[in-house]
Amino acid sequence: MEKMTFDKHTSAQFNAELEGARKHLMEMGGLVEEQIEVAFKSLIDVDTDLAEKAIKMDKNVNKMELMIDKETTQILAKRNPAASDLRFIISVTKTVNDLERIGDEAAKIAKQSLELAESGSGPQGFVELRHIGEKVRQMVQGSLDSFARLDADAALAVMHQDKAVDLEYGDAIRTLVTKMMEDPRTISRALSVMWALRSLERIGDHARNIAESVIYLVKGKDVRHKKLEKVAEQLRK
Amino acid sequence: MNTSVKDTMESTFAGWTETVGNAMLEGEARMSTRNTDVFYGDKQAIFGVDLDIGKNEVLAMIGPSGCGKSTFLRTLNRMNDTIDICKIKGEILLDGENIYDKNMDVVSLRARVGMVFQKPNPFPKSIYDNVAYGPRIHGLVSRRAELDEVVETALRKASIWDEVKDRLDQPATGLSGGQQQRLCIARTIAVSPEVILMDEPCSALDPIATARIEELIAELSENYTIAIVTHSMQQAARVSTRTAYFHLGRLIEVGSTDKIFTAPDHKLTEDYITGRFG
Amino acid sequence: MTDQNLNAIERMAMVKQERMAAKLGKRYAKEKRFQAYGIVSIVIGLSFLAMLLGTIFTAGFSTFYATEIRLTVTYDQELLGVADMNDESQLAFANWGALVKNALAERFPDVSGRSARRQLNSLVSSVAEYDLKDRLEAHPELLGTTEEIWLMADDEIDALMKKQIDRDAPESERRLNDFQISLVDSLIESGELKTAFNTTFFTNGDSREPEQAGIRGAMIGSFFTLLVTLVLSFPIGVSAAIYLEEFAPKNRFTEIIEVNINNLAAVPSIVFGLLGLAVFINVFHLPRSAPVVGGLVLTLMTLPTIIISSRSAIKAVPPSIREAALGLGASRVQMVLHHVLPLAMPGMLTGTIIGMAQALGETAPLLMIGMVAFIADVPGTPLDPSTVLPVQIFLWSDLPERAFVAKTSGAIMVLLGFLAIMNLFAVFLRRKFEQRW
Repeated sequence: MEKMTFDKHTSAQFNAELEGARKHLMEMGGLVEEQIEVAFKSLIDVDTDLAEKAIKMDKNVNKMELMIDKETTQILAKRNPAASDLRFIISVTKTVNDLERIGDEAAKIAKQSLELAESGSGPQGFVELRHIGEKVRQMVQGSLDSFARLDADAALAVMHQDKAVDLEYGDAIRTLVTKMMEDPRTISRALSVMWALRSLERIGDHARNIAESVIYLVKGKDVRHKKLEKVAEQLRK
Repeated sequence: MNTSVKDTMESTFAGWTETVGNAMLEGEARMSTRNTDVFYGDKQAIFGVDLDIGKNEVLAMIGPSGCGKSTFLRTLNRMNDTIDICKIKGEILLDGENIYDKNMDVVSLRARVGMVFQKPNPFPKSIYDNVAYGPRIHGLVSRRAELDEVVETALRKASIWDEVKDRLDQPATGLSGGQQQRLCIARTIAVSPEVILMDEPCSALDPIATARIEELIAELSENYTIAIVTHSMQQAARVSTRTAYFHLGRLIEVGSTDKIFTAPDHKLTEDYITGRFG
Repeated sequence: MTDQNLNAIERMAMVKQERMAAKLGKRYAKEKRFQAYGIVSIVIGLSFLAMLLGTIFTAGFSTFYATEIRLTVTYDQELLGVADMNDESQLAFANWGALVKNALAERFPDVSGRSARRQLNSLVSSVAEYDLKDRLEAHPELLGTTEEIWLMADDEIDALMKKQIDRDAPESERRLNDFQISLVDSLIESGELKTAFNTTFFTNGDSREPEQAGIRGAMIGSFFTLLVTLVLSFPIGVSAAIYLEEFAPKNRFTEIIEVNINNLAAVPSIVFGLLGLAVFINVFHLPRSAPVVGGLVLTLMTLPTIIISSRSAIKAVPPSIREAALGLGASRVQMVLHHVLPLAMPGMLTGTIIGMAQALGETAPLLMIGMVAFIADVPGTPLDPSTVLPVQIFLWSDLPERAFVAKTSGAIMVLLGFLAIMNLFAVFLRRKFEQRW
C-alpha cells in the first residue's frame, strides 16, 4: 500500500475536519505524556506538589477526550467515512479512549506518591520502578510517534516492548513480595509501590492497544489478541 | 480517440496489469465474463474484464461516471444490441453458455436475465397489465386464473401487493416513484429470471423509497442473482455481498464488500471510496 | 476601511442600489414595449382575419336563403302532351314550362301582350319546371289535379328581395323594370312570395343557373377524394414512419431518404398534379376528372406531412418505454405494436388530420388532372367524374352572374366549416388519447 494521506479529499472541509481530529489527538497525547512524566517524577522525588499537579492535569485530558469524541462523532454522522478514513476515525476513537485511561492511571500513580510522602520515607523497590517507568514512558511516546508517522513497524516495536515490560513487572512484583515477607513493617509502603507498578503496567497495555490501532489504521489488519510472531508475519506480507 | 488522450490513458494504466481481488469465484458462477471488450465504434469502453457473478449473490458495481459499469451491465443481457455501433469481444457465459453465441436467442436470454432501469419506466397501462406483460408475450401461462396468480405472486415478492391490490386496473403511472420502481421489479420477477440486472435503480427515488428497494434487494437475493450498478457507495455497501470497482473501462478491484469498504487494496479504489481526487 | 482595500465586487455593492434604481425604469419600459409589440401584431393579425371572414360571411350569407313564389298549378295532361305516364321519353319531352306559364297567367289574368307575358314568365326560375316534373314522377296520381306549390323565383327576383337591386335607381339602370317590380309587390302583398332556407344549395350539383347551382356534387367529390387519400396515405405514411424510426439502419441511404421526405413536403403542389397527370392518367389510363386520381395525387402530397408528423410522434415516445419492453424480452415488432404505436397514435392521427385538411383545401394539383370540368351530376362512385369544393369555388368565382358571387362565398363558408371541424377533431383526439408517463 502506498503512503497514506488524509488530505486530497474533494471536500476541503472534510480534510480540515480529519486534520483537526488528528491534531487534537496529538495534543492530547502530548498532555498525557507530560502527565506521566510529572506523576512519575512526583513518585521518585516524593514531591507532593508535582503529585497534585499530575492529578489536576487529568481534568484537561478528560476535556480533550470529550472534545475529540465529539469531533469523530460528527465526522461519522456527516461524512460516512469509508476505507482509510473509516479506519482513521475508528483508530482515533480507540486511541482517545486508551489515552484517557492512561491519564487515569497516571493520576493513580500520583495518588500513590502522596500516600508514600505521608508515610514519610524513601521508597524501596524504586530501582524496578524507575526502570519500568522509563520503559513505559518510551512505549507511550513510541505509540504516539507511530500514530503521528503512520508507521506500522514502530507500532510493532511498541508491542514487543510491552511484552518485555510485562516480564519485568512480574519480576518486580516477586521481589517486592519477598521483601514484604522479610520485613513486615514495609508492607504498606511496598503495597503503594506495587500499586504504582500495576498502574505503569496498565499504561504499557494501553500503549500496546494504541500500537494495535495504528497497525489497523495503516495496514487495515486487526492484530488484537494475536501472538506477536504471527502479527510480525502478517505485517511482512 | 486522438493520440494525446490515448497517451494519458496509457500512462494512467502504466502500472495496471490485472484486476485486484477475487474476480473469479471458487464455486459455480451464474454468469461469468472472460476477457470482455466493448467498443462503441472506434472507442473502446470496456477493457478485458474477467468477472464472475455467483449464484444468489448481490454484486455491486461502482465507479466514477463514464467508467463503463453501466455499459458492462447492459452487455450482460445484450441490451447494447440496439446500438448499431456497439461491438463486443470475448465471452460472456450464462450457466456456461455464451450469450453472444449464434444459437442464443436474445428474446429468451432477456427472459432469463431481467433488467431494472435507472428511471422507473412502467408502461402507461394498468398495474395488472404491466406485470402480466412479460408472461403474456412469452406465453408462460395458459389460463387467466394462472396469470392472476403469477401477477399476485410477483407483486408480493416485490412487496408492493398490499399497496396496489385494490387498484390493479388503475394506470401504473399514477403510482409514486418508489412504487413504480417496485412495480418494475415485480414486472421483471414475473418472468422468473435467473439474474436481475439493476442499473442505478434508486437514483430517482427519495431516501425512504430507496430504503424499501434496498430491503427488497436483500429479500430477492435469496432466490435470484443480482448485479447492481450504483452511484451511491453507501448503497453498494449496504446491499451487496461483493463489490467491483471500475475505472475508465477497466475492472480495478473486486472483493467482498466488507473488505472493499474498510481496507481496499488498490489505490484507485481507496481514492474513489474515500472521495479523493487521485 | 478605505475604498482601496475593497475588491471590485465590494466596491460595486456600495453603489448597487442607486445604479440598479437608475437602470430599473429603463428595463421595465423595455419589457412593456416588447409586450406592446406582441399585442399590436396579434391585433393586426386578428383584424385581418376578421375582415376576411366578415367579407366572406356578408357576401355568402344570402346564398343560404332563396326566394320562392307560390303558384296554383294544374297538372293538365293535355297541356303537357303526355299520353302515358310511364313513358320516360314522353315525360322528358313534355311541355313542363307550359304548366308554369299557365299557372302564372291564371294568377295575373290582367297581363296581356307578348312582352308583358314574357316578363311575367321570367318571375319564375327557368329551371322550376323540372321541379314539377320530379314531383309528378314521384306522385303520378296527381295528374289532372290542382295544387299549390312553392317554386323557385328567378335569380333577379331573388336579388331584388336580397336588396341587391336598388328599387330607387332609374328604370333604365335596373335589371328589373317597373312592371316586374309591381308584379313582385303584388305577390309580396298577398303572401305568395317568401324567402326560405335554400336546401337546393346543398342538394343540387353544379348548374349554369345560379339559383339552381349547389355544392352537393363538389362535397361528394371532396368526400371520395379524401376517402381515397386517407385509405392510402395513413397506412403507407405510418408504416414508412415506423420503419424509418424503429427498424431502418442509420446509414447514408436512409439519410438520403430522410432528406428527400423533408424536401417533398416543400414541393409546390402543382408539381404533384403534373405527376398525377403523367403517371396515373397517361400511363395507367385511370379516368380523367375522377376522385380516385385526385385521391392518388393528394396522397402523394400528404404523405410527407404524415410521415414527418408520425416520426416526431414516434420520437416523442420515451426511450425508457422501449427499454422496458426489450428488457422483458419483447421482440422489436412486439415493442412497436404494443407500446410505441399506441403512445404515438394520437400524434399520428393529428398529423394525418392536418394533412387531410390540407388536402381538402388543395386546388392546384386537381386542376392538372381535369377535376376543373363543369360537372352537373353528383358522382356515385370515386370513378365518376366530379369536382371538389375548392375547385368549385374557383369555378364559381369566375362566373359573371351576380348570384355566383354569393355562391362562391357560401361555398367558402362550407369549406371553412369542414376545415374547422377537422381541426377540432384533431384537438379532441389529442386530448382524449394523449398518454402521460
